[in-house]
Amino acid sequence: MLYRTRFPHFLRLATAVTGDRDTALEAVQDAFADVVRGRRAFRGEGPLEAWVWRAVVNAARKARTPAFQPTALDPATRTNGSEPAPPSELTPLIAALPERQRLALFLRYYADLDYRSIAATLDVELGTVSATLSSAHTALRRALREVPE
Amino acid sequence: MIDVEPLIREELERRVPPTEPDLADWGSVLRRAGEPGRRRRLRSGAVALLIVAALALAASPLGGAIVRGVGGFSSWLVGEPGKPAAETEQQRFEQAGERSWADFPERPALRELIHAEVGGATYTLYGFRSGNAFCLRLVVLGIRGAGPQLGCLPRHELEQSRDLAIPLKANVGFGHVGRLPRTIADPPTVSRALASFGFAADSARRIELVSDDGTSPALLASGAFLHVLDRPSRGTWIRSALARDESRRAHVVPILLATQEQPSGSLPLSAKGPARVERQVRGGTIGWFTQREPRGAPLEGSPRLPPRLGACCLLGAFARVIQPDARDFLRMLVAESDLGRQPEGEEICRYLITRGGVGGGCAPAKQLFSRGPLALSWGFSGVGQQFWIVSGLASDEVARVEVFLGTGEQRPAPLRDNVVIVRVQAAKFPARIVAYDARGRVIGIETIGAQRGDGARPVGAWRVVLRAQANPGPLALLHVARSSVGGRCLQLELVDHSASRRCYPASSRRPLELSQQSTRRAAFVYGRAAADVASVELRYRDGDVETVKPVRGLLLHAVPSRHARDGHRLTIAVARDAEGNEVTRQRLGSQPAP
Repeated sequence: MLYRTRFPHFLRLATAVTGDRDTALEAVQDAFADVVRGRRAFRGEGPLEAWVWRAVVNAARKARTPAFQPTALDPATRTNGSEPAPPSELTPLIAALPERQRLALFLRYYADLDYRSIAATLDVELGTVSATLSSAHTALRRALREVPE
Repeated sequence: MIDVEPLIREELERRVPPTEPDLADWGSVLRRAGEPGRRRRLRSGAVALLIVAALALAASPLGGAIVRGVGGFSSWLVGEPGKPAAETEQQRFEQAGERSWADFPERPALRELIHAEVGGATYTLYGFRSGNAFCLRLVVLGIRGAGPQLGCLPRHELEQSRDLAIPLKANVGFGHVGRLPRTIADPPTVSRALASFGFAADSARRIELVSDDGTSPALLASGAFLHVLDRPSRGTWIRSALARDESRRAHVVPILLATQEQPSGSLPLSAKGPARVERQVRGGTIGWFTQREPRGAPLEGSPRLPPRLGACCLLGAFARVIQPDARDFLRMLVAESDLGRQPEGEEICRYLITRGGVGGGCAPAKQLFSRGPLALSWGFSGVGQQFWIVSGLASDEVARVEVFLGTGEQRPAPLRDNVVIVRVQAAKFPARIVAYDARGRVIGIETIGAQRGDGARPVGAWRVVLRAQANPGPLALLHVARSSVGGRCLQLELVDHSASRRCYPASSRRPLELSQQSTRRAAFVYGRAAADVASVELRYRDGDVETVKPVRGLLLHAVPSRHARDGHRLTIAVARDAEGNEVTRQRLGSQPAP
């Protein structure tokens, strides 16, 4: 059920992490395979959905090639035959964020998770999510201010 | 300052546009997980056909249940039990629904399940599903004043229950034999018929109901059962049920007898689930409420709610309607009180909105979570309800809430914007309502209906001590019984409507303890007063005052219909001694702090 209803979100987040939709698709499928195999290990210590999101995030991070640069998305990211979008001034700034900040942003915007779910997915305190997202916003805001006209 | 959030959203939307769900391939996941064996075992004959059908259905909300497993109630989860109800009955049902306070999430299409003629009356059981609510409606003709009876349970109950039958209502009385009690000495009402009904599992072959007079079979058809005990003798109640499957082995189906605190004739249960709080959380808050964030829906314009509901319920300007399960009709109104922000803090009001009405009160925000992160209430609306509604607020630390039944079964409790509303099968009490934080640690436990230890319960027989007739509206009977911890318990019975109960310990030092019980048409005030309270002034918002004298320390009063309107409702009760001195006052509509 979760797989069917949230699949587009999983794939979108994994694409953001890996930078390549084919790689992302593989990562999502592998993550769910891990979840199915390890379902008995789920002890109900947190929300099931967060457990699954964690698996997807980890699989996507593992699948990411060392040479990956988020600023240069693979053409495979195009959808429905559209051309990949050109990088904007924010693209390198987001790529330059610390990984936890970037993941928190992705989980917030691509997965549409609330702070509690992000905290459970990243295994951090609720307050840490708030602080992390705030730091990301501050960093981006500062960087944007420094961009010359 | 640059508002960076829209820029981030725009950038992320642009870089990774939404993807299509058609890339989803569950079969590939299973193969990667090394789970092909399960498919091979199932790939034969009719079973394989079922799998194909199930996969096709899985794309629909209805079929989603199959992916999770439908348990024993597939005729409801994926089928269409019974036959379509007559158009006239459908219209009657919809017209009745227009007067309710809550809309069903989807237009319910009534299905006729069972029809029977018993003792000169006809009983027709209908059923329907709407979103996550699965409901049965019993319509009785031939007994004066016998209104339809509606009961609902949540989808997850049908998905997860392994019982052969799930009673929805039991011991629902229709009509009465002889005259109604008029004095304390009169015996309680005896119904002309007692009806019990519920859902039946696919494999149920026979369901028998056990009463004080013996065992008799229920009608079993179309995924439901109906039992009518015609002209029961005084003191005869349905106590439990036995269900049999193909093996003819009997399984006990617990039934809550509404006139007692504990389920009777069923299972000796004890509280299950986590018993220890792993992280102490006290003094929590509700951030969105404090910040006045517009969560949920506004009160004004919410479907079905009277636009000036706020005037009746001591509400201030900030009021939001929260629906924890968007596919159910239960909602909660969370609001500031009309006291506004006081130097000593503010009050949070919470009112549960069911189809039949609105009930709740206000409490100081500071005290709401002073004992833990859950502030819950529980109760039922309507006679013979087997599923009680547990509802309330959870502080910000709560990430999820689970219900552990006395049978060891576990159920999820919908939680959204700090509001929890869940229906719990009362015959499986005691139930532990457990709150977890984001890291899965237990941070709060509320136990409901424990046999011993935490809370008083009535023991021995109930006696009718006071009666009051609303005009218009139902007859109210105030019953009293001894309390298991000393003192006494009161039960207000609104005949053919609902019942509510409170126990007052002998050690209680409060001079006045009143409660309100309302239906759509009438309201009653009832409770206890200390021996030195000679009279109680009931003050209304429009300035009107009524004086009521307690009888043997008890009070029951039907609020006049002119005070059942916004701007005219009851606000405060003032207790006075024989000399007219004020003893205490109680703000009505506010509930005591936990």
